[in-house]
Formats: sequence, structure tokens, C-alpha cells
Amino acid sequence: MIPFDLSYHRPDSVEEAVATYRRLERDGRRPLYYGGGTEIITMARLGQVRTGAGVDLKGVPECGIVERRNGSLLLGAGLTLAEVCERGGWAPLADAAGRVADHTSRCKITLGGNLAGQIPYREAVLPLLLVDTVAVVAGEPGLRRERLADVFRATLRLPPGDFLAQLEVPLHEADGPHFAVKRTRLDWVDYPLMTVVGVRAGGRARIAFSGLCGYPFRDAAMERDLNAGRIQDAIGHIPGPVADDLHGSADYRRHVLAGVLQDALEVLRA
Amino acid sequence: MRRDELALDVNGEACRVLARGADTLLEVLRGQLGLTGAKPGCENGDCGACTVIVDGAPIKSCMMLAQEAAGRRVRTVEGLAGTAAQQAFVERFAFQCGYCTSGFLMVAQALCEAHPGADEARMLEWLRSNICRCTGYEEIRAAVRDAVARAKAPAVQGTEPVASASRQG
Ligand SMILES: Cc1cc2nc3c(=O)[nH]c(=O)nc-3n(C[C@H](O)[C@H](O)[C@H](O)COP(=O)(O)OP(=O)(O)OC[C@H]3O[C@@H](n4cnc5c(N)ncnc54)[C@H](O)[C@@H]3O)c2cc1C
Ligand code: FES
Repeated sequence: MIPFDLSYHRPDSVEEAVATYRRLERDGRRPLYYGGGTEIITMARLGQVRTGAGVDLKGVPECGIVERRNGSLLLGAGLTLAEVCERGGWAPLADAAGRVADHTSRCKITLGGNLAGQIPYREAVLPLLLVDTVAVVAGEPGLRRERLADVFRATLRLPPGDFLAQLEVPLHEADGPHFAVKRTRLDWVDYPLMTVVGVRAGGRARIAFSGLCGYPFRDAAMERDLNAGRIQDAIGHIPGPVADDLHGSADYRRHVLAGVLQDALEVLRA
Repeated sequence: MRRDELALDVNGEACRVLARGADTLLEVLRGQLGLTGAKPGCENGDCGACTVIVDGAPIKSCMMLAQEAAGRRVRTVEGLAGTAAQQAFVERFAFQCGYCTSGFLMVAQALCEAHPGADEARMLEWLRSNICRCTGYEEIRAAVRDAVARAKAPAVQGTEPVASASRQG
């Protein structure tokens, strides 16, 4: 049972969502935007999140969109990961999102929630970091466009009161084969020991990682090494301390990574 | 603590409950409506014992606020009487202690309706959402395989396919 009161709001426009959030904020209710609510509910029950109000984004039409426009794919942040897999139409994203949690949970977890949540893996962001994805952000003046790379650095960084409404993916950038592998300690459904997603763009491999450090990332130095076939050098350039936890030691992760990168390069440079 | 009246559509019946904004659908189904088929297990999204069907999709009711379910069609295992999925579980003896059974049944039913004749890979992917602590997975898979195959088979005169046989109300 969630041990505190929480009011639930379901606005049906961007303007109403932002205004509702701001009103609740002014009233001292510490609101949270609410995607699938899976993280909010499970953490609230454990006392790890405290909020007086959830502003559900699933009634906002812009957040439920799936549309192709001039070679780009526009995806609403309120789509569930199951919808992204079934209707999204971009294989690298379907493969990465399709390994988050389990199928039933993916019927509830949203794309925006996966990127914005506290649980550090955020696996659905990996393919989005490989192309110049645009984040459509909702705030006081309405919708604005930002580079995802500018607003997502390890975690989604938006000013308080703003929310992620859509993601626009330039599909034409990734013009070759793709690679997506999730390794877990034991079970198929688990947090990742590591997830590695790659695409080929303009003849070069682009690769992003989750589970290796405490946040998902794509790193220029690693990519340079990998495109030169220097896997061990790339591993030496991992941009933060390698995770050393119940899922696997840091040494084990580096060992597994070498094999995964070998497989990735075979696919992406073929 | 404040409770508000909430209108829900459960197994085809219009219901009125009094719920806190923070009550999960699982808590309201069990505590207010006496529908104890959905089981609390981990209450953390991991075990699947609390699975119900909401607007055709399997949903872990421990991870949905009751308020979120307003205006949507909720189905629980109590609404699956007479379905091919239920029949297949009985024929295949697909339960041991039975605690996980309703969750597995709901996933099976949702799969039959969304993807009648689903292939083995899709079936396994959907079933990975649920845990059986007695490890009776072989029988459960056999039952779901049967149910999915029956869902695809054309209706014989005088019977209905699984999807419509389960329709409530
Ligand atoms: C059973 C289970 C297994 C999981 N396994 C994995 C896994 O394998 N890999 C993985 O990467 N993750 C995994 N997760 C983590 C999950 O992806 C995150 O917890 C995610 O936040 C849940 O999404 P949601 O839509 O339910 O988020 P919510 O609970 O709705 O929100 C989470 C946070 O994000 C914020 N938020 C939500 N939507 C937006 C938006 N559009 N704009 C701005 N902020 C927003 C909320 O305010 C809140 O702070 C798992 C979670 C569960 C419950
Ligand atoms: S009780 Fe809901 S998933 Fe375990």
C-alpha cells in the first residue's frame, strides 16, 4: 500500500498538463508527471518516492502519436514500450525496448518514463542516442525542439515543470545493419549486465551502452577505437567506473563486453 | 485519508467503489470488490500473480492506480469462466499450488485474443512475464499452446472462438 495520499490528474492537452503541474506545484503538492506509473507506484510503496499528485500524460494526444514525416519517425513519449515495439517501426528501437522488463510490464512502462526514470538502465534511449534524435519538450510556452543529446546526459535533464512529449528520430541517418544485444546474469528477464546497441551510419559503427556504468552512454573515443578494430583500447576508454555489483563484477563485465563488441563489429562492419 | 467514489467496469459490470487516489487496482479489486483472483505476490511488477486484462492488454494490477482504470474495461480471472484457456489449464493440469495460476491465465487469455495462433516465440515472450514458484512451467506452456491453437481454429457450429467466448456482460 502506498502510505500517503496521492491525487491523480489526467489532462487532455499539453497546455492543461503544464498548467495542472504548475498549480499543484504552487499548492505544495510536489507533483510528478506520470507515464506508466510503474516506477512511481513501486517506489512510492517503498518510501523511495514521495509525491502528492500524479499528472498522467497518457491523455495528451501529442504523447500518443506514431507518425512518419519526411524520413523521420515521430513517437509520443506516452506510448508504452509494447506499442513502440509493435507500432514504432524502427528495428533498433524495437529490439532495445523489447528487452526492457517483461512483456506485461512493457504494456505499462512508457517510452518517456523509461528515459526519465530513476532506475539507471534506460535501455530504450540507446538507439535514440545513435542518431540525431530531437526531443520535443513541453513547457510553459508550449512545445519546443531540443537535441536529445543536449537534454539527455546520463539522465533526462529538463527544467522543473517541463515534460518530454515526443521524440523525432531521423531514420535516414542509420542506413545499414543494426545490432542489439542484452546480456543478463542468468534470467532472460532482468536488469542488464550490459546492453549494447549499434547502427551503421555513413559507413561507420555507432554504439551505445547500458549497464556498463551507472548510466547509459555513447562515447566518441570508444567509437573511434571500435571503428579502427581496437576493442581492448575501446574498453580502456569506458567513460566512467565500470559497474561492480550483484549482476557481475567489473572484470567480468569487461570480459563479456569484449565478446559482445567482437560480435557487434562483425555485424556493423560486414 | 480521503476516499473518492470511482466508477469502474469490471468483467462487464459497472461497479462503484470508494478509493484513495493512491490505491492500486489490485487493492481495490480485492478489498472493495471481493475479486480475490488477482493475487498480491511481489507488488513490485516482478511476479505477474496480480495480472488482469485492461482494454485487451495484460496489466500487472499492482502497478496501476485504481483511478487509472476508470473508463477502461477491466477483466479478472473471475471473468474467464468457460474459456478455452481455463479448459486447457484444467486438461493439462497446469497448476500446483495455484497461486500464480490466475496471472498465467490472464496472460494466456490476452494472448489468445490479441494473437490467435501466436507462434512459440511470442507465446514464450508473453509467458516470461509470470513466475511459478512451484516451477510447473512445462504444463503451463502446454496449456497455453493448446489455448492459442484453439483460439485460431475456426469456430465449429454451435461454439464460439476463445476471443468471443470470454466476452463479459
Ligand atoms: C518490473 C520492472 C522491470 C524493469 N526492468 C527494466 C529493464 O530491464 N530495463 C530498463 O531500462 N528499465 C527497467 N525498468 C525500469 C523502468 O523502465 C523505469 O522505472 C521507468 O521509469 C518506468 O516507466 P513508467 O512510464 O512506468 O514511468 P513512471 O513511473 O510514470 O515515471 C517514472 C519517472 O519518470 C518521470 N516521467 C515519466 N514520463 C515522463 C515524461 N514524458 N517526461 C518527463 N518525465 C517523465 C516521472 O515523473 C517519474 O519521475 C523496470 C521497471 C519495472 C517496474
Ligand atoms: S504482485 Fe504484481 S507483479 Fe507481483
